[in-house]
Amino acid sequence: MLERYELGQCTDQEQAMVRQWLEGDVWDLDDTDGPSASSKIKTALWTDISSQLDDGEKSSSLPSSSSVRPIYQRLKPVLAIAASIIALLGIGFYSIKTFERQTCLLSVDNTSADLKRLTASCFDISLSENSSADINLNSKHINVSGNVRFAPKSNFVLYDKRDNTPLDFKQGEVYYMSSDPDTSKLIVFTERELRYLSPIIQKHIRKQFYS
Amino acid sequence: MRTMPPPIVCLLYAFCSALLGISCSSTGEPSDFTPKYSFFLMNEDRSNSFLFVDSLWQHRIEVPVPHALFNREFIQKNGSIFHTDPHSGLLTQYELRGHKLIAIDSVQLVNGNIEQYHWKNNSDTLLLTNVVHGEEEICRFYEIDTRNLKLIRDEELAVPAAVGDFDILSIGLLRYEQEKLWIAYAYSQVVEPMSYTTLDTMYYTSFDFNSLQISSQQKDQRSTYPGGINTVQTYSATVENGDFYFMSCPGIAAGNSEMLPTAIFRKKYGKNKVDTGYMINVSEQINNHAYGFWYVGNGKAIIRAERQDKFDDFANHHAVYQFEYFLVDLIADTFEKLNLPLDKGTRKENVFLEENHVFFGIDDESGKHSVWKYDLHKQHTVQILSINESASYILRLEKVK
Repeated sequence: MLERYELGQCTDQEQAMVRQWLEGDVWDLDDTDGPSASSKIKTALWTDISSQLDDGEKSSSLPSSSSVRPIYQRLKPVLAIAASIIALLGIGFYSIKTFERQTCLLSVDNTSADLKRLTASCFDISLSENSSADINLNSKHINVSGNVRFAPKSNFVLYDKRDNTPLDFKQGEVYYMSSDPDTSKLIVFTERELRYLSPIIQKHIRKQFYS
Repeated sequence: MRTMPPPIVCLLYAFCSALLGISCSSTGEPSDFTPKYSFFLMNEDRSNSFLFVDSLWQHRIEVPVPHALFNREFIQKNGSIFHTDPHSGLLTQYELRGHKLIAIDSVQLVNGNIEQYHWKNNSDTLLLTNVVHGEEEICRFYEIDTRNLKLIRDEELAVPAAVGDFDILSIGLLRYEQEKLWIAYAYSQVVEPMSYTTLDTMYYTSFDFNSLQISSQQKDQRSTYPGGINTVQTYSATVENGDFYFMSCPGIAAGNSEMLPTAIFRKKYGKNKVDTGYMINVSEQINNHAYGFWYVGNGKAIIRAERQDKFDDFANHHAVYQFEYFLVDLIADTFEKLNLPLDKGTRKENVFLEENHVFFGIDDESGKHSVWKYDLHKQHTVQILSINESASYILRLEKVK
């Protein structure tokens, strides 16, 4: 559209859109690093393009073929910068997505005597002493030893790595998981189910998580 | 040959029925429905719900729980229902409006683990004890004005965190009397995953109510695990002359020190210490342990006893039809088994007294979930109501308070 703008081939509406884009805040870049690349780029672009507008307004409404090529050539670096910014945003978005996926992978051992609490984008988890958890939402597997308190932030199904038992986790619920020392089978209780166990077992489980 | 009445007669009959307000359905809600009794159910899909019933046991309304984590551990008083959210520890006051429980107000507690509640002098002042489980057990005491749900006090009680390796604290009883706060508690340990036992001692401590300084202490080795979490089930009562009776629960489903007896004990009115000369040995009389004690007046109480010949272990304790109800004479030390079907469900708050009748909510072997009535004078039981078969357990049956 910028190219057509410079070639004088935009409709009135398209011309208004380009002017608005040049004048408005359309970059949505992170300005937390201070007077940023975004404002500098905006300024540079505006300086380049608006200078053409001024020249355009001064010249006739129909650009002559002799004035088109030079304006387009001067826009090329502007377009290149714009393309780079768009590419950078794309890469940044991809990185965030990858990071998000990475925080839905967890492999942690708690060999200390203290409770370990971790917060990820997909779940919160607490491990009592001498406990471990290996959770992978991509491969959909879970492996737990010791005592773990698990609060998923969305609904998903994971499979116990030992025997492929499906475990249907629901957002908003809290799960208490422990491995049977004899069979190594994973025992899972929701908060609601916990309340129907013997009171002493309930207390024992809560004791692992300081609740 | 029978003839059909003329159409005009049918119309007149329908009009008169409408005028007289005769309900055409036992589950419909007439305009003057006032809940008198309430059920709290576990349904077959493991959800919970309320069922409110009128004074004639005829009309009923189903009311959903206000949120998915709302459980049976609630407290009723003067038309309000108080419940602590297990996740947030927020004690919320609800009222029934139409077919819904509406949150009115809330106050923050340390967690959702209410062990005991008690209404001070039967007033609007709610006394609570919570236990915070962690490296060391901590008992917290709350005094709450429920007229405007304001916290009056939130203090730690001087209760030892453990006795040797027995490091799990259970507060089984809480009582206010004559400016004293009295509690009974016990200590347990888990010896391997899902296996536990309780130390063979009941501990009693009396605190000055204002300063919460300890005024007397007592140990009692006649049994263990006094009382239990009383938002789940009742284990004690104050009788007409002010004496306080309570039951110990060393059975597999509570203290799990089965060699010690389930027994009934007494603390006489005005005394700081439990009467060591009084004990009703329940296990010796019925050869089983029991959970649940409800006083029904004139020196008599109902207990709910398990049948050790019917369950294998704790895994199926809740599911087998085994529970029997006994009428206990607290003075004569006699037991009468009531003519009721075997019930299921390890702990239930399903017994209440009204005038000279005792009501029971029973889930029986035929699959029925029914209300039975026992006449204390005529010594006769009768079934008065069955409810929705999609219920799995009647967890609570009580008068609306």
